[in-house]
Amino acid sequence: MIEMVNVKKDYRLNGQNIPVLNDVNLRIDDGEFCAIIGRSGCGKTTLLNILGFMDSLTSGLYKFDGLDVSRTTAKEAAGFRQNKTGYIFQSFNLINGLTALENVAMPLGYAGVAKKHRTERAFELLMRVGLEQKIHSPVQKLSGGEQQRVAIARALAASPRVVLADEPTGNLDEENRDIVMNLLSDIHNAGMTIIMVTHDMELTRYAGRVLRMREGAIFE
Amino acid sequence: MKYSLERALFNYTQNLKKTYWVIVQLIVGCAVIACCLNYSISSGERYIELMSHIEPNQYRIDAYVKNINADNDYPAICYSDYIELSALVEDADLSYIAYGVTLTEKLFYLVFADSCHYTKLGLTDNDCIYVGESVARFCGDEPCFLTTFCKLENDSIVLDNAAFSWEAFPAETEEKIVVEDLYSRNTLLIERCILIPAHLINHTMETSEEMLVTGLTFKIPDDTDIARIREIKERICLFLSDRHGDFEFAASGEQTSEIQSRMNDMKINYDSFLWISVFLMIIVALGTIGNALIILLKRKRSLVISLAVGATPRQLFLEFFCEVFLTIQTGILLGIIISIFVTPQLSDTFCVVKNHVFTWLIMITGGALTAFLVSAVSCLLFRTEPSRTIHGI
Repeated sequence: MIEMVNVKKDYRLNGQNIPVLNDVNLRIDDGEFCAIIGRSGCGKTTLLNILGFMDSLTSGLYKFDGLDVSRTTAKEAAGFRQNKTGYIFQSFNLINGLTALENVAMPLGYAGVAKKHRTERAFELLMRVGLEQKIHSPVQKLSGGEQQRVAIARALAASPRVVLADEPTGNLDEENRDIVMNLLSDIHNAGMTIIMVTHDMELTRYAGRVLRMREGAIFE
Repeated sequence: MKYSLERALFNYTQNLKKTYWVIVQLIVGCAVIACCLNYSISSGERYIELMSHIEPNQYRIDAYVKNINADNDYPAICYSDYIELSALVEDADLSYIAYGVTLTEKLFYLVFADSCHYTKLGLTDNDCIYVGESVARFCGDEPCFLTTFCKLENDSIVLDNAAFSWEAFPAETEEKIVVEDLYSRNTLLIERCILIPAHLINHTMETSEEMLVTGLTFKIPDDTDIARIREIKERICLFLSDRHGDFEFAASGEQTSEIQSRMNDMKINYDSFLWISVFLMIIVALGTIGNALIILLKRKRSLVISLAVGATPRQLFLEFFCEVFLTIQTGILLGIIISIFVTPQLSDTFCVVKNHVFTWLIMITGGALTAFLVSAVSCLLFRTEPSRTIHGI
């Protein structure tokens, strides 16, 4: 489903090119639960951002469902983010002031889904993550674990092909970590492809495949 | 698209609830601008109103005898008045005009309100025209009656038959018969006209001790200093009042003063308004940009999250633009409403034109355009990729 060939990513800082990804070659098939581990600054998040169409690559080839998406316009990238990927952030990145239901329904709103349908879908997903009692709670009043579950529900809202999770348990305690990881495991078992970035070796037990990153390169 | 508008409206209501200070600045700015505009417009309208009563570029002093039958040695303005007033004019070194004919041509315009006036001049009905109010009614607004339809040629007046509206006379009246008779002869002898040359007045003066007229009108060139107008008016007033007692001055002299004063005020106002406007425009522009940037800063997180979950840049542009637009317009609208109540309190010369739709339209359109431009610029500046920002929120 996902194929990367010799992908490079450089950032430009003070007139200097700083290489972040160096000849990344990667292939992830449908239904895989793939964990990418590595030390901080090795390029995990950059790789995930490129996989999630939130950043562009400097060179190389990126294929999604057999389609070359190495060079996409902002509009095309938005389309891919809308339909193909769901993103889970370490810091949840929910919109304060909106309720859990409204946060989950948000991607569907931008996708043009009618209010009734997106509310039904958001409610269904919040039930799935066990937050049916909190659907009308403002997200800032939820605990960290609950917020991350809302974020997971939001990532699943548009029925993406792949869920990308960037340190999903980084801000959670042990109990909530297990809840979130079990939830991701359930989602994977239901057939969803999951790519998770983490530096916590313990979480790799949930993944079917572990990729290691070092200095911008991937090692199986 | 619909969802973007929905989000913008939601954010806007949040702004109204929480960030009222965002619009306070605009309210104040717009209120002051609206006040200045109102002041300028009301001054202008007052000026136009005054000018509509008076011929442009002409200042007038009208003097009328209040009671023509008063038991007085000088019951009305008489030729001797003219002589005395001429001396005053010369003494004042002013170039007076009597109904557009300068004194150097030795012409003087006499308005007869009643036939008894010219009979006292020694003229008979056969020699002179009585143009009373009943005729004047049909001759338009000009008080000088037939002169509207005449032109002076040497010592005679040639009537312009085409200019006179006979249809205006509804029925056969004595006045109509007289006037018709005059017009039938086409040309009037100067002695028979109400426009009497000075030499004829002199001639009449020899045969008739006094000439009786009801009023005098002095037209003063517009380049005459207002102080000089006041001075000569006082002198004329003093002279006529002493002589006739029951004498009245029309307000055109006052209007002249008021216009002059108003024009001076307007010039001062215009200059100050210009500077105030420039100053306020800078403040409001900075305020508007500031507000847009504050909103951008406040929404940056949610915009980036929205971008990450699949919103297109266009959707976000619309969302941000609508929010900024609504917030700024609210400030402008409130500012205008406040100005309606604030302006009259600032000065009694302020005259707020509450129904001046055009003014409000300009202000609202101006505000809308400013908001639009600022929003557009801010949105253009907001060119970021989600990944770079989202982790740095």
